[in-house]
Amino acid sequence: MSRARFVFAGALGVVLAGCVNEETRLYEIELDGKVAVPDGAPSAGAVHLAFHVAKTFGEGDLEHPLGVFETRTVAGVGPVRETVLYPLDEGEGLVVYGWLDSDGDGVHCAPGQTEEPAGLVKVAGFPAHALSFSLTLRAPCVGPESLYP
Amino acid sequence: MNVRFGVTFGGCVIATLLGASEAAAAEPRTPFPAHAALDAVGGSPAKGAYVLSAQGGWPFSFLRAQVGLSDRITLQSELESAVGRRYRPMLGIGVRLAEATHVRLTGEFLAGWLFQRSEEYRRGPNGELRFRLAIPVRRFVPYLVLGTRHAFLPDLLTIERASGTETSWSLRHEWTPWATLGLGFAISRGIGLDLGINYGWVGAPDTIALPGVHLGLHFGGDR
Repeated sequence: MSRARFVFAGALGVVLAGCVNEETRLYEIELDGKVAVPDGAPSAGAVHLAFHVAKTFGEGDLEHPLGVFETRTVAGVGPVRETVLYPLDEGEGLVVYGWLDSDGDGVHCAPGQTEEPAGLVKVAGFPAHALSFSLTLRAPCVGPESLYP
Repeated sequence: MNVRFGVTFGGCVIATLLGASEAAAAEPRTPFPAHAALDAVGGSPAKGAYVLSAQGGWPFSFLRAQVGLSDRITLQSELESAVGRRYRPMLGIGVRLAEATHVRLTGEFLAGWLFQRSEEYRRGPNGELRFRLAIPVRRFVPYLVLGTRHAFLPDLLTIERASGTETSWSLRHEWTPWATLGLGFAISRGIGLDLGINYGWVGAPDTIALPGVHLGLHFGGDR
């Protein structure tokens, strides 16, 4: 590379580096999991999954557990295979929360519906591009904040 | 502190008005054919003429230089600051679109870079198209500026996959419609003042904006 090209490339790099407004870094994870309910419990209905960072970055009192970054809906309990993009600059650790939509209304519990079970699991082995988890929905009408940490 | 500032500011205004009245008394009643206040707020000084402007206010302040390349074309450079956190150095041209005894209409196109350091960084190329309408009446120059500004803000996205890292760029657009309504005043042919109300709607239409105000001092010459 000639000196002129080297200088031009350097100048271009400085200009580009100096004009970045937001830099988003995502980490792709293939999640291979299993969603289940306790034996004998009703299992009909779609399962709504929410993927959280285990601890959200913040300063002082602004640091807090959990922070959802993706949501998915799967047909029902059973094996699950999802690809998610984890925001590296927003937190650390990976948590999966899910609940069973027994009445199909898309709302987790409501007056007259107090039996939709939920569950949460912290995924071991993070960070890695391929992870597995096992989630059991056993706590009716409970949000993720009540299950973690 | 505020009292001292107010006294000093008031003294400057009184001295300016006294100076202006003396100048008015000394000069004939015929209006100046062209003066710094008109060139500053109406744009496009004549060939060989120049005007330097300093406008201070809230939230926007400006430094501007204009030089007449011909009787219609002007080269201009401008630095705008918003509360010391947002800067816009610009370079551009002005074109005198219409000129009559009591009207001057100028179109201006400027391009430059936007730098903003605050809770949210904003950096990127920036351009502006604006029109200045000035109506000189003796020493006074009521004027209106209407403009549209466009900044392009590059964002960087990096995805780390098992197969490797992907990087992509995207551009966000920031639109800033602009309006200034003001009044220029010629102290002499070479020195002028202006007072204006600015309405710069940064990030329209997704934001709200408050009107601002500025006081300007202008020097010109070689006409």
